[in-house]
Amino acid sequence: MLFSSFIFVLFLAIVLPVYYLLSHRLQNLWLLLASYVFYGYWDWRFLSLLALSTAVDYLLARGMEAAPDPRRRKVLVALSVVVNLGILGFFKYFNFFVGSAAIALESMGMEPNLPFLQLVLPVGISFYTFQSMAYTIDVYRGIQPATRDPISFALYVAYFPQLVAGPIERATRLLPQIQKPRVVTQDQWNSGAQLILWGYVKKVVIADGLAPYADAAFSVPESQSGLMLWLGLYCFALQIYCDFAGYSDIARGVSRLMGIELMENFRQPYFSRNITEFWRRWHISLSTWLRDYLYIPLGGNRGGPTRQYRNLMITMLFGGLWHGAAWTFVIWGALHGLYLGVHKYLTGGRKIGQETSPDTPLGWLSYLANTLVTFHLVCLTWIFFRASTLSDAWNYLGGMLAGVFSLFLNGELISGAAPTLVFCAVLVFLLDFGPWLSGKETPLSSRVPWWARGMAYALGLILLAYMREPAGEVFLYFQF
Amino acid sequence: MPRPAPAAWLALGLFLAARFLLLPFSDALLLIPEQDADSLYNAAEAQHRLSIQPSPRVIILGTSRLGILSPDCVAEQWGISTQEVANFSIAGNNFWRSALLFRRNPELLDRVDAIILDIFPFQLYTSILFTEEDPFFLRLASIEDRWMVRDPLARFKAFSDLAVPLWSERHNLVGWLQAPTLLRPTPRERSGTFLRLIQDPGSAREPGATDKPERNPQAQDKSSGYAPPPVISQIQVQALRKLIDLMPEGCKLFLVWLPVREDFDAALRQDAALHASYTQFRQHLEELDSPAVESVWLDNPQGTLVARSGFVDEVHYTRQGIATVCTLLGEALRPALDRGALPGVPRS
Repeated sequence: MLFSSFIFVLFLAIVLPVYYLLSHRLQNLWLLLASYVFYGYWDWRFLSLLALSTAVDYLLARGMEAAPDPRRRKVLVALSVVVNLGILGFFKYFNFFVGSAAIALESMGMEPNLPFLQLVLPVGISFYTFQSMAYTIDVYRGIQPATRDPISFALYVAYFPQLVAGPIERATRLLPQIQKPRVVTQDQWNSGAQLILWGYVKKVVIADGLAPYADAAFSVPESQSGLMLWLGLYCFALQIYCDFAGYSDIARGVSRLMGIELMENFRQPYFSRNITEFWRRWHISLSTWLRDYLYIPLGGNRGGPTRQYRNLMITMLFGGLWHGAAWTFVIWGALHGLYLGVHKYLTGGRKIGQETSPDTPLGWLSYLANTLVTFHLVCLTWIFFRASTLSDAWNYLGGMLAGVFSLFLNGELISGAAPTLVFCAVLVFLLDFGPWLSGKETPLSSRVPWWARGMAYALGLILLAYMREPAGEVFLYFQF
Repeated sequence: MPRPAPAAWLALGLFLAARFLLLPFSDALLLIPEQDADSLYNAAEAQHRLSIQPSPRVIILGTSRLGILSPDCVAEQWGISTQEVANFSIAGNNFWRSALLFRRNPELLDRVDAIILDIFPFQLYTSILFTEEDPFFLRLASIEDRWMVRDPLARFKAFSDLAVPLWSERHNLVGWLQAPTLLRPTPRERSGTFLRLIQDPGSAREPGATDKPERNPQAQDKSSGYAPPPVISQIQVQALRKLIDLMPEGCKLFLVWLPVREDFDAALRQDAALHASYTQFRQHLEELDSPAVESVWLDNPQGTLVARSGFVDEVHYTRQGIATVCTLLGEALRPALDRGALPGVPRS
């Protein structure tokens, strides 16, 4: 069920009050039941897949802990990886690889007759398989003890706020919170409710409001003007950010209402000065997962710059493929790998320190220039991310480049896209600038007078009630 | 258990205040609905409010099939002046929209002698043309209408929407920017502005319904759209009853089954699905027991009433076809006129 659906509101209205009345052990059971109901609402058949992944990793982790022989432990963790990636690979990538093989064989003059399967992609499979796999790898590494509580582990994998679109949690963070009793403080309730409100504004008002214009631009790029292609790209850039970040905020807010803290997944990524900073702020749970379980095991930045660039590229290619079974996603990942490699080269491989906000006018000017360049570099990759095919992506890019000159020459009328984009960009700025500056997670800190906060919340509610495109806009990341 | 903070209470209070403030402006902020039938309803209403004759004697409230029926032709058939005839036919019209028109504009019934509705199976059923979750329905439904919503969740939504208009009064930004143009002091001025807006292709349309059955505006099989599966909508059933109750004394409601093209006429009898849809519909209407209602069934087997050349498709008419229909209507309703059912209309 979508977070922005009526049925989810009803679901929460049942789950939360009952949760507050239960003891800790029963709370976990209740949440597990609710999570399976939540997931099964989409398609009950895939509950078996979720249960399978959970059972396999629980047993393998227990097996690893009971096995003193390192080789046996290695076999067990490899089995976990194979099973999880196997499930993911089968449902998500089977037809992609078969299709790509068929094209390759055809180009060699053969006439392959390879089987294609009618597969339904289980919602959230990329998220929960990664989360479950991370647990067994951490047990193997000795970072995380294998849990002996199947209910807690099952809840760790299936926890409904983050089950289908992240954040991809780590067992070291989430399991202890599940296993120990929880008390929801007034502060958690207030901040959780705030996160939920702004998350909905991002998703329902901004992302859904921009979606029609982005869709119009990307659906038939060759019939759009250059200006519309630029506008459509900016619309998509904000749409995907607010869609995903909004979802994450709602997930974190809902979870906080139950006393469980989920990791921050987005930290104002479009305020980044460079691509390295961007990846510290965008889809943080995935980027850190890739860093810890792929980049570092590959060697990370050890072994010289060439090796580092190679490792970066492999990691980002994998990251691209994670998003979808299509060459457009691979190109998207490759571009980011290229950007990161170039940035590493330009900075001489030195470690980029903690980012701070500028404190001089020149500093602000430099910051603004760097941010705009970074934003546009990222936007270039969004073309490939959003386009249906590579051909569409090239058409889009070509249309935009040709349209650069027509931006200033033609008297293009302001369409619905322009005012909506400006309005949404202002909203994004208002929601993100404060947190970027202060490092806090929400735009209104407790130092703001209560009546001012009340008015801002009221505005959020009014925007939600009165400004909305038709529902049915799925959370974009559900398709992953 | 945690309690909402003072800021939350203030937010809720301000939100409810905004809600109540916008409530009386619901009509003024009624932009162009996404569904054609709804926007045409608004246009029909606006047209009525601009009319020099707000209380006609004969009202044609058909579907798109009677949209091209000229008031002149009807007036001539019945020997009354053209100004006494008003045509509010709306594409996709149904009993609920018809009752709505009279509920919101009761002056229409002050002098009326006859109301002619052309009837079709889709009007009685839940289909893509009407669901209980259409924003238009949620905005304008009465309390009684909302109680009649069949699905419990949809009914809950229908009532929730009264408090928080999450489905009925959402506008995109362009729509909100357009809304102030409709804030005119009188309904007449708003109607004029609305009619100008609806003719402008650049005007923003409201978002459509949530959870709507998949629409196929270019339905390959239009037949199944005209006569969908017989899932009776209690809202439509109640609306038809309401329509009958609204009839002033002496006024007659004519439910007229107009001729369809001969191949479609045959399909309605031979195709199992279409036949079920048609039969249940006809049975329901024939069982209506009210002196204010008269059903007229102008079947057209082998094109005996209207030849194939009189149709542009299975159900809609050419100019020649509608002229024939007008004559047929006059003849079909003549017996009622001669019985003195309509005292204001001259007998033959």
